[in-house]
Amino acid sequence: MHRGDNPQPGGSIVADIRREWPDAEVVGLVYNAYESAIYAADGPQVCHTMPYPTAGLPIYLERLAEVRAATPFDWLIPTLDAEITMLAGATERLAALGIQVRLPSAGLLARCGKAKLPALAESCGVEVPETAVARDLSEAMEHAGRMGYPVFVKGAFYDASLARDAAAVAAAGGAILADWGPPLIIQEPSVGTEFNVMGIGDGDGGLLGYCAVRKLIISDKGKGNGSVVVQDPRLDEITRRVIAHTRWPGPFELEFVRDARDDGYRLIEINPRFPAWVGFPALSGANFSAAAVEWMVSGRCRELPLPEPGTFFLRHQIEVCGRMDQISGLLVQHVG
Amino acid sequence: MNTQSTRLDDLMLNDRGFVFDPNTGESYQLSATGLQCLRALQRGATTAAVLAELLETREVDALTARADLDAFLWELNQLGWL
Repeated sequence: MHRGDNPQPGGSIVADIRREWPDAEVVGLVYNAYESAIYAADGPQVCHTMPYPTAGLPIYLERLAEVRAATPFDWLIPTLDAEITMLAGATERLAALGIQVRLPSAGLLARCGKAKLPALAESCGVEVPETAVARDLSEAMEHAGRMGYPVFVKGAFYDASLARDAAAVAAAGGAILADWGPPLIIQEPSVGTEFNVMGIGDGDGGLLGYCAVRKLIISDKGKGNGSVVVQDPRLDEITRRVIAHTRWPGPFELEFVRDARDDGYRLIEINPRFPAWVGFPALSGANFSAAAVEWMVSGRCRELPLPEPGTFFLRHQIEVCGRMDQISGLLVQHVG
Repeated sequence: MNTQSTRLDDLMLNDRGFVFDPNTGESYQLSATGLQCLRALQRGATTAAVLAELLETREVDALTARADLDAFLWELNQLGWL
């Protein structure tokens, strides 16, 4: 629910749901009392803290049951990769708690993860940068040495650093292993322009809507702080091919680099969720978050018009105001 | 035969010479003469017709106009617009 530096999608999704249905009861699940969207005027009516997914599924489910008992809700929309991966295999256990979700299967998520991307890309005829999976730093340095520097060092879900030598691989890899555990992904950097495509798959191979952008401003963490809508038939075709091949169900973001060497698109990542900029198309009439809710509940959704090429967004940080009595109930740590 | 590319059709121009290429997300600033040429090409004009228009509307000799137009068309080709 954080919308400041390095923002997450949750706050935008809540805002867009409330933009469509002002009276919707939205319960925010947060990890930290200082996640900014908790205090936004268009944020959730009530928030509860959650344990991190690294605490394990039983503890996470136990806390969800407590939250639901305190503040009833029907549907859960996990918006972070680690949550989605953990909950994808737990839909029946969630249903037993009275909580409905609509997520990609655990098998599909595994096929689309960073470590398996080359195999997936080959099966649907999409190019990817050379990618290798390492279980530890020694393997990571071996892969990096074979590929030649620089390389990207990535975690399975989060973090990516450009490493220009073995020492940098060790430093970046060590930090990722400490924070997230194995594996490490070693990836050849593609030199070019970054493009992202966000959308909703219907689960049968079709697209319910999508929006393609080129990053204009990139933060030091590699996040797009400004992007412009583009319309390239090649990018559209690749996106449709990936979604058709995977029969992707629900929200997604595909990350591409248009490689300056041959002008070809390289697929860098498939994210099983909306990106932090999901609120941008909603400003011009394509409310993807509301459409995703409709799709989850009914299997159908509103028409999502293609945002007009040339429309752009810039990330604009503002301050939100809270009071310490609001925060007090969220400071309790749930560690099981 | 008109072999005008879709890329050329798709370019978004304004009267101040700003061009946005929706295919790449790149934007450009054209001179008034460049804008005149690009608009003529978007209308489907041939190179000879664009040259004739330049000679009619600009104070320029034929050799200079032809050389500048060739250089401009080469750049458009490099951008994949032609």
